Amino acid sequence: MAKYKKLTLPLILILGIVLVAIFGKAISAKSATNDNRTEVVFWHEMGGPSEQALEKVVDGFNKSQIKYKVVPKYQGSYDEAIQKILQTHNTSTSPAVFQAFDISTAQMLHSGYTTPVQDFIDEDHYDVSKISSVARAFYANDGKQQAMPFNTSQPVLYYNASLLKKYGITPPPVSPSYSDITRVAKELYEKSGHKTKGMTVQVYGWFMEQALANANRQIANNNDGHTGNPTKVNIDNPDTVEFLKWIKENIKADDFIDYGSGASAGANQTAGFLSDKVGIFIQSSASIGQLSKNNKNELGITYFPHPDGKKANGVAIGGAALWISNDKPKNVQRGAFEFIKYTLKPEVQAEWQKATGYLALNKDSQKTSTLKDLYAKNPASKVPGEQLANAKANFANSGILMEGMQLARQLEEVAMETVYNGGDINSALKTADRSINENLTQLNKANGYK
Amino acid sequence: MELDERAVLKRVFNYMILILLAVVILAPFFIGIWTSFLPTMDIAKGNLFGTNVSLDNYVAAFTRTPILRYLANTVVIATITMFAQLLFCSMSAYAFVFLKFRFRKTFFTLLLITMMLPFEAEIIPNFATVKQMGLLDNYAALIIPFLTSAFGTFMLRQSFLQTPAELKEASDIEGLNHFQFYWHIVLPYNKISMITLGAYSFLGAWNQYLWPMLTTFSNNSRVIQNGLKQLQSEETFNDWGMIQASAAIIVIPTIIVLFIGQHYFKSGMNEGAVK
Repeated sequence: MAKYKKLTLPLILILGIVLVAIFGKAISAKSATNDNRTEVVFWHEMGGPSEQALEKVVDGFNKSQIKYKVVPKYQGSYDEAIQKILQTHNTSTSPAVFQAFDISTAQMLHSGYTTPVQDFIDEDHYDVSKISSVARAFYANDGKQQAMPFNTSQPVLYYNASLLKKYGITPPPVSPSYSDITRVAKELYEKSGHKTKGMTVQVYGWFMEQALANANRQIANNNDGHTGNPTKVNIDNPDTVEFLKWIKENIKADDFIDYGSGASAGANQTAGFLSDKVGIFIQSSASIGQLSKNNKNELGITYFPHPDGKKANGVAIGGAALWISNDKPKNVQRGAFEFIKYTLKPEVQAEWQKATGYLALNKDSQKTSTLKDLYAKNPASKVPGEQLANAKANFANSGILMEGMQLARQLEEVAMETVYNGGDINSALKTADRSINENLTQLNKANGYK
Repeated sequence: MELDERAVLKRVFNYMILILLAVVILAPFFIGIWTSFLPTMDIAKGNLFGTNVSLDNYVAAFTRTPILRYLANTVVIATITMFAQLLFCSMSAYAFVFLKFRFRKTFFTLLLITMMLPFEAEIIPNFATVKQMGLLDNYAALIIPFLTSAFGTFMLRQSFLQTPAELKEASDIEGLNHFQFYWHIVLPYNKISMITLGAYSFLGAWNQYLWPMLTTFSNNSRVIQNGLKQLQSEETFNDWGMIQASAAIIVIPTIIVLFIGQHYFKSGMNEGAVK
């Protein structure tokens, strides 16, 4: 008996393996039910609830199709996916269409692994004028559309409208200046008896870049990389100084709370905002779902603030775009473009905005009942879309087409952190400039760019 | 009397420190388990003392996500990895201890050198190899590179060295061949080390993140740690309650392995072979 007892554990384990092997095969067999449609493998980085929304889009496309079938596959975070896409190119596992995030645009473009969507746009005489110009401009180079924007967000400013009402504070205008926000933040801090901090700005390079875009300031030469590969970056300019001075003024007035940098800072400041510890913060428009679901306070939203005495130039978009790989046969690439066209339909975009908080890119989406109902229920949710529609694309607000943006952002964040902790603005920016430029020179040299 | 009091005080003090340390170590774990029962909005607000406790998050994790599939994938991969490492590491350790051959020391040194190189440093060549072999997005890519480990061989060799030479001599007299000696004497004698290595390699495979992240592309081959990451979105709404519940589900099997390991560990200690 004892002899058999010894065998039970291994036996159970082996049995488990065999069961799973059979069971697993059954599942994979089921997912590969044969139809004669051309398979288009689609790699994406939408996890959690947005993955479910994305799968709905894919299902809608597959139901509408007799020729193509899109197979969505999740790949991890944006950064990880880039490496996987580049490293698996030309293998059987590589995708036909993939989602790559904003700051990898230059890298994708230079890889030479993609077919510009412009080729298909020309072939089909597809009308792109309905698609937001700021979003399109981000992924265009030399007048050619390289990729099609998909999940798109812009930074906006959120405020706690219920608290402002409670203390009788006039809310900021829809396109506020720095001093408008300072006024509200200071009043909120004073009138709440120092219980609620006025504002926060997360240590996040993206926000600094957007402040510059909104001030119509280019960061990199060659028109932020849109007319040639950038060779020099200039963070140390009057507009950055003004942005940081604005934050510093609030830090000095003690109405500012610093949540630091990174993903946990984002989660912490959201928690602070929802529990009335801070009244104003800047975040991606995609956060709107998190902020309005079950929030007992009324949510206020304005455009990204702009410098005093200057007109807001509009901010660039964030998010990701859909690219078509060039290592797949022509008909698969065609299927990929058909899918891209489908994702941009007014109704699909409207549903997408409603489900995720990403902005609808098709201008006609605003006319759909889906979005009209959404705005009727929550009027503030209209603001991010208006900010996007109001911005006219120019080189300053179309993103920075430069490789090594990830590192550049980190260095920008170091500069921000230095200033938040009482460091000198000019010397922090000089240090950032020096390191970013050093890195850029090295990257350009390593890649053989002129 | 006085002495007694001092001893009691000392004991109380010792226990106080132990309790304090236990709280520090266990608190995050229990906070994690506790939040897995709370609705997401309470978690987002940082309101950890909510009263809306429910199992909704667990239901959501099982019904709305492919977490079961990820669990199954991970169990298969971790189990195969564990048995393979036990077999191959013990065999190579046996060779290094009980077989006499030329350059034995040199080979062993070479083996040890591979231990100095962290796996992360070998990722690029390993990825290229797996890609050339066409194993991407397959169980094989997650198992083959881990069939054996230098650390396992090293650990078992040290343990086998402790096996009394008398046992080898006795078995030679009995006429046992190498395989019989290995199977009937060396392995049972070093049971504790084997179980330690088994638990170690199982948990190692269970907790892998970077390598599976790079080599798997679909839900069919995705393992649990990467699945956990998949439950989080990049910029939009996150269902923290469900993510916490999934994390709790993932921890359970590892605790079971530790309990089984502990049970065997005790019985191994009690036996004792040579008196």
